[in-house]
Amino acid sequence: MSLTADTPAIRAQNAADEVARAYLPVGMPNPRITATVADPVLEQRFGRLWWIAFVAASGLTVTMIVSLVWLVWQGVGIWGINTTNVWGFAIANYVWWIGIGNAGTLISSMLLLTRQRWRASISRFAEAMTLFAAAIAGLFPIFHLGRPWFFFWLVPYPNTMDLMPQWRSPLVWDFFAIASYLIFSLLFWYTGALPDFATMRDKAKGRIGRKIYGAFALGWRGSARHWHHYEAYYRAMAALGVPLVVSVHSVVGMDFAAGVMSGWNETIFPPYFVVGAMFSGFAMVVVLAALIRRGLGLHDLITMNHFDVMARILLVASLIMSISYVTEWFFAWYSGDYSERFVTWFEFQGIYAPFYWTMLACNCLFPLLYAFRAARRSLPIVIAVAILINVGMWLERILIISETLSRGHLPSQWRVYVPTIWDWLLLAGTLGFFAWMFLLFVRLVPAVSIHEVKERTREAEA
Amino acid sequence: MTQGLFMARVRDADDLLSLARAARELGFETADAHSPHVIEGMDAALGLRASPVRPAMLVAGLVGAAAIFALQWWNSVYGYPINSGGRPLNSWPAYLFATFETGIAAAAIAGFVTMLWKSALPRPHHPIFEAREAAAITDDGFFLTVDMNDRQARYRAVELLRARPEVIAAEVVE
Repeated sequence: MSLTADTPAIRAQNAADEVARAYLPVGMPNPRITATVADPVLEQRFGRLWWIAFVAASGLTVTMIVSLVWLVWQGVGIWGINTTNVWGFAIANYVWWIGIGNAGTLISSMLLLTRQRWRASISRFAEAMTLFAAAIAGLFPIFHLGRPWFFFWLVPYPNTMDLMPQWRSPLVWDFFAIASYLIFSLLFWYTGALPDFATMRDKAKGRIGRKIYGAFALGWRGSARHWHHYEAYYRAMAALGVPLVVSVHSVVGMDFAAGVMSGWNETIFPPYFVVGAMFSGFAMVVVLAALIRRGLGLHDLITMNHFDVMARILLVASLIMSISYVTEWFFAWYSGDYSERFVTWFEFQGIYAPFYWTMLACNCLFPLLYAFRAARRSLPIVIAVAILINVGMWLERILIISETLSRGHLPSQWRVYVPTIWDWLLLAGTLGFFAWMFLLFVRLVPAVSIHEVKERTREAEA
Repeated sequence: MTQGLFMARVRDADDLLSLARAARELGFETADAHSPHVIEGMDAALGLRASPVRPAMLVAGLVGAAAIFALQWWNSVYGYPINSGGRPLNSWPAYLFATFETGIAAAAIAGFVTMLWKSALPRPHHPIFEAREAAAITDDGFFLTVDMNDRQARYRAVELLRARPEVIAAEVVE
């Protein structure tokens, strides 16, 4: 509805209507919304591209399994880590993956709480991304333990050794953060998908499909009583999701900040890590959104406006990252501490300097393109910059670890970190495993929240 | 136990709201609405009481957090005191990480269980699935159902609700 009288309230209302129309398929009847999302899963054949991607992802998944088996067989010595660089790719990958996961929860929770209508189209696969990324992230600290088969010693349980975990250890904080986060993400994602599983049950043609989707739908029948409790739970979960994400990535930041190493022992770390997580995760959502939109033909539900608004968020996050870097440099100088200043000098001039400059370009320079509307409206540019951000954020994670550890307090211990083939294979393997799970997800689960798009579209039409 | 279900289909969410209000005014306590998405105001139209999901989450969250904090405190101060770099045995700020995370996890689990329990799910079989148009609920179907335990309700349901202008189709599922 568009009113013509010119008062601030009506102008605001008209602007809000305009926004809603830009992100929602206003005017599209419910059966078509259902069909747009459900048909690619139920009816269309998988297509050659999907199979090529799936075979490639399966190959990388096998690579991941082989590298993990070899790691357990041989020990962590197959990696590039040594007594100086005790944390290498494993911890960098962990931080990077969990950061990617965090954006999924943030998109889902924060945008639901602030009633952003553009959430409906992207929340489902963003949450799936969270689930897969957090599960992969959890692997790294466990396999980095050296004797991963004793990981359950992190769980406080009555045992014959009469021992409990060391509660002051960041490793134990990590365990609680990841475990809670996984449980939370799984419940949040599944609850949001529950009504859509019922839609799939009712739409499925075959007996087996009906049975399987029916089992996941738990007998959902869209009753007002179901919706009543569903809403109460889903919104409460969204409200818990925001502080949970902040706490999870703060704990990751504390893994570093709780140590006394130069370049780590900084109060800025928790918020700096949270923003970095949002930055890389949103960039990943942009890439996945582009792939899903093309692969499933969801052009009506994921529009250029969605990319535009995500690019704006990335721009802001990039500026915050830049400020964080500058703050780090400033405090290294301002502290007057020799080793702090030395590590900062080492970043710009040391052996890893080319990577550091690349990281600054990826995280601070290229995202500035998003300041221009033409760039935000060009899908190739949006995607290219998003990929660069992911590369830059991964470099940031590995550099935070290696710059500091390679130049510790004891010059006789200085060594350079050189990753081995097994470091690279495991990284590639986890990327493939992520792709593998995601490819299965888009073929088996509605990639967009059907019921939420219907609800928001109705609101926008009213 | 359900002996029959009167089902009336309406065109859209607004009609379902008005029909739900009418059913409630007519005294059908067991009236229920079925829709493919959440309808704002439906809780009030059917007179549903506030959901116990959030109180359950709050209690579980607090209990879970308190329990894990108590474990950490007891374990560090009495169970196995270790002098770690001269830090106090009761280093409570360090214990808050596990406390917070456990509280959230406990609330999430308790809320999920309460949601399913109060919705009487999982329930793979329900009379409504016998209805001709049941599959439409999750697509574009808006239905009002009345649980008919006796002949009286059956009579009234059919007479009063079927006559409403919003209804476009009605059936009785045995």
